[in-house]
Amino acid sequence: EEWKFAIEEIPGSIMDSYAQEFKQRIEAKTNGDVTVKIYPLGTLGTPTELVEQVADGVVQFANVSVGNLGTIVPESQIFLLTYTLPSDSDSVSKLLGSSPVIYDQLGQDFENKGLKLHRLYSEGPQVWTTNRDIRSPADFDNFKMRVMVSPILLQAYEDLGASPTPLAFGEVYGALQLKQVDGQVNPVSAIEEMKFYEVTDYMIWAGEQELVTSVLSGTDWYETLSPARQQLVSDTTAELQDYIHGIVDRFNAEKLEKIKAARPEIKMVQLSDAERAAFRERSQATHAAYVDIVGDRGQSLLDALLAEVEAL
Amino acid sequence: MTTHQTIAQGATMRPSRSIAGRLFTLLDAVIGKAEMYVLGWGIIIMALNTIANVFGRYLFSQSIYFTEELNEFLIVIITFMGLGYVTRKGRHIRMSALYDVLPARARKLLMILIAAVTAVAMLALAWYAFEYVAKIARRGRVTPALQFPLYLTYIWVVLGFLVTGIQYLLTVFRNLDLADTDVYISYSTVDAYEDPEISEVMHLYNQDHPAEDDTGQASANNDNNTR
Amino acid sequence: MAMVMLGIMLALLLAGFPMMMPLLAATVAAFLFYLPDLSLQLVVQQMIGGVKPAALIAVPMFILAADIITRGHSADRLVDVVMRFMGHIRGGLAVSVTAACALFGAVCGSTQATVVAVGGAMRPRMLKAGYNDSFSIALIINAADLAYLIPPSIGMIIYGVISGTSISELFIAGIGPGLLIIALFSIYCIWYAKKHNIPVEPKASWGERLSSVRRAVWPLGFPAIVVGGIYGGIFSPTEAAAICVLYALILETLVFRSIKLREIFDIALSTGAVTSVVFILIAAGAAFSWVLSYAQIPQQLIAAIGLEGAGPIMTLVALNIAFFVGCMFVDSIVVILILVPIFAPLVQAAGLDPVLVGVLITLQVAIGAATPPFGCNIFTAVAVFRRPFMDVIRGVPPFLIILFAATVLIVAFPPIALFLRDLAFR
Ligand code: NA
Ligand code: NA
Repeated sequence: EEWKFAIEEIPGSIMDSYAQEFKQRIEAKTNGDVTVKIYPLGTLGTPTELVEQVADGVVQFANVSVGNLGTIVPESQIFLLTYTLPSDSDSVSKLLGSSPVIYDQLGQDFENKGLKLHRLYSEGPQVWTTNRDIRSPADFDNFKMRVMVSPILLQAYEDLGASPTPLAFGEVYGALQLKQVDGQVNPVSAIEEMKFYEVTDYMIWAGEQELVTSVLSGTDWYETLSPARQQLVSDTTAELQDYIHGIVDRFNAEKLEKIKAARPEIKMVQLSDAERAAFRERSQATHAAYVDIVGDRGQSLLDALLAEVEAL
Repeated sequence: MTTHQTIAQGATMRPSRSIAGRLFTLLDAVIGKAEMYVLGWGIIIMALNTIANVFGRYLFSQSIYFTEELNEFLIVIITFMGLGYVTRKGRHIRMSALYDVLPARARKLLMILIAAVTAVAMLALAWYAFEYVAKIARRGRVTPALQFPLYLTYIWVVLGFLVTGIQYLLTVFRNLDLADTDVYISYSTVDAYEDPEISEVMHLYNQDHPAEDDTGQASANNDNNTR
Repeated sequence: MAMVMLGIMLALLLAGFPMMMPLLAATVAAFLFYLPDLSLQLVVQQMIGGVKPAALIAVPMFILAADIITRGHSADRLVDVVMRFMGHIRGGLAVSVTAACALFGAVCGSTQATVVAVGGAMRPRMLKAGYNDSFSIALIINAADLAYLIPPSIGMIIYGVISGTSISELFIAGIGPGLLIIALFSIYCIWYAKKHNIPVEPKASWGERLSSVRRAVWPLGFPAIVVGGIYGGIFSPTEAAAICVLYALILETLVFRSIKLREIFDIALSTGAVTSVVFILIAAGAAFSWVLSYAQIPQQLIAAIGLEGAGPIMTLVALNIAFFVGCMFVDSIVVILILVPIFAPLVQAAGLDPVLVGVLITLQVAIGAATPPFGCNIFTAVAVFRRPFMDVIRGVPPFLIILFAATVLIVAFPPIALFLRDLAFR
């Protein structure tokens, strides 16, 4: 039996580490009865196409970030709201590892679209790489911030004071180099892999978001599995939750060192609590946009998740 | 002079005379008109949309959030609805090395085979495109920026394949009349490459260089001359 | 499976099927015989996905702009300037075409857009000057390839990301090889013009030159928009193309009054047709490469060759051949995405400089776009110039030989690529 595992990142990335570890553990536990084949970035299509393929059972597993799920499972865009998740990575990991709101309620929304949500995990805090210092919403005046094509993200950065500019991922480097956009937002690992630090002057930690990614199967395929196999998948993805949190921390630290070595003159800025508060206040407006798109369902999910965060 | 005229004739359309033929000609014309509008306006809207985004960004510091999405939709519709149009006009790219050396009758038979196989492929793709679009509609997918139902932007792909399949069927039908010695590359177009402007230049060139026929143009024109 | 697909493709290709059919039939055959559990809906998904990348929109926009200025006066006036300055040199026009393609391609980044924009304007003049059409087209489609080598280059960006190589270093390392190829093409052009005794025009006086420049003052806005707009960070290439359309409309309808507004629809229709002809092949190619990726055929073929432990030169040779052959059949970006990870361990084991490897890969990818049977530049030339496929590829071999020679030179003397890089970064 062969399981195909498609990821939206390159070989050697965090998602690749996840898929490689998943492969190793599954193959070991089944004594090679199941082999896992990994398909990295672009070889089977765009992230959205990967989700279609996993829903149809063309590939059995996919790891895609929630930013790419917006058109398929709109409810998942809750993780694109700024200043909603806790601001420290350990708490985020704890929340994503066990939240009933995510796995019982949001999981149902995935199911409705033919998707089995195995796990969500974070690739670490989002970092702004920019060509000027940003300390307050006013600094975002006339600032073209590249974001993914998602109405929530566009709204979120408009609320924070920037001029959000949607752009395909592959074109971000060129656009930054030619100053068509003034900045972009991604975790440290992606900034290093995509070389965005070569073409921007500041790295700014504003604590507004983490990059949340999802591990998915198609429900149709998943239901053909024997209970034992289903248990195997669920146990393995549960084990991987801690494993990947460690990997993410290590990757982000290592890649940050790499960036410092390759471009010592880049300025690293941690926004203070007071500075973050100004952005946080503005982020509240975005919640209404989420409820607009997702409806009442969105409001109840949001309330439930915020209550969980509060209780952490 | 003869070279030039032959090429120019190749570009003219040949109406069919039978009753079924006239019916097909009518169908062909109606579909053709619709495709023309979609293609021409698709390109014009694409240009306006892109230009407006630039002006929005610099004059009003506001990118149009749906520019890219509208362009995606337009390029899909241009590609697949255009497929029918370029088939009608016989504009598809072909590598005709073997085809070109065959005698006229064999060429005609080969064209029937090509059109028949391509028709089947296009109609099959129309069916699978329909299934695909229906699935997207069932899942309630929307476009990222405008939150517009995605299936409405893809339905044109089904139509494009369908029309192209029909166009190739008509081509089979047209070539079945073996008494007519012309080979039809589509229902209404005789097989020949044409470009009035360039053939004018080529004509001048051939007058100036009567001896030159080593490669390229001169021999290619002779090729056309035999049809 | 690879052999069956190749067989079907060649059979349909030679029989004279429309070019989308060899690609689609091979893909469908792979589905039916080897992947029977999968629905052909995937072919449709990949075909639609294949035409959607935002960067591709630059192509129809440049086609439209080129169509307007070649029907109007702008293109003629621009080419006149070139002729006044270069017309008296034997091969001067062809050398100018090389330089114009290289510059335009480098800036806009799209080889197809270059074929249309520069080729559309210059080809009629080359024919009038006495150049053979196959030579003219082959020159245009090959010189347009330099779009990949000279920054900004999307191929290099993708290679840089996949292989973890500095993109800035890659960009700088592409300049030397780009100039080398321009020089080699120019030498060939001059030799060709001598051999075929292409007549030269009488040398223009400075007065005539000045007057040609004066007549071209407005049209010189086009290179300004493209070069200044893109390098200056004002526009993306697609936007620069659209602004060129706007500028062309203003010039030709209001300033020169050479085109009436109601002719615009016909021009747009013709642009739409050319776009569709080329893009349906991009779509079919996307479905074809999806099947190859899914069945992991490239991995199997490369494993079958057995390159473990090969020395640096052997690795480079294998790499060049693999990318060249890959790009003959599959879209260049997909080839980079699939093959770079396969070669990465070999390149590392052989101790090769990843920047040198990136430049060589980009060069092969560039060559692939103009190499039959499947090449975007070829398709674009057939669609835009309305010449038979065979006529378009007839003149290609000498240019291929030159490009191979350039490859060999870079492998033998890596400083061609690395000198500027070392100067800037080491
Ligand atoms: Na370039
Ligand atoms: Na090729």
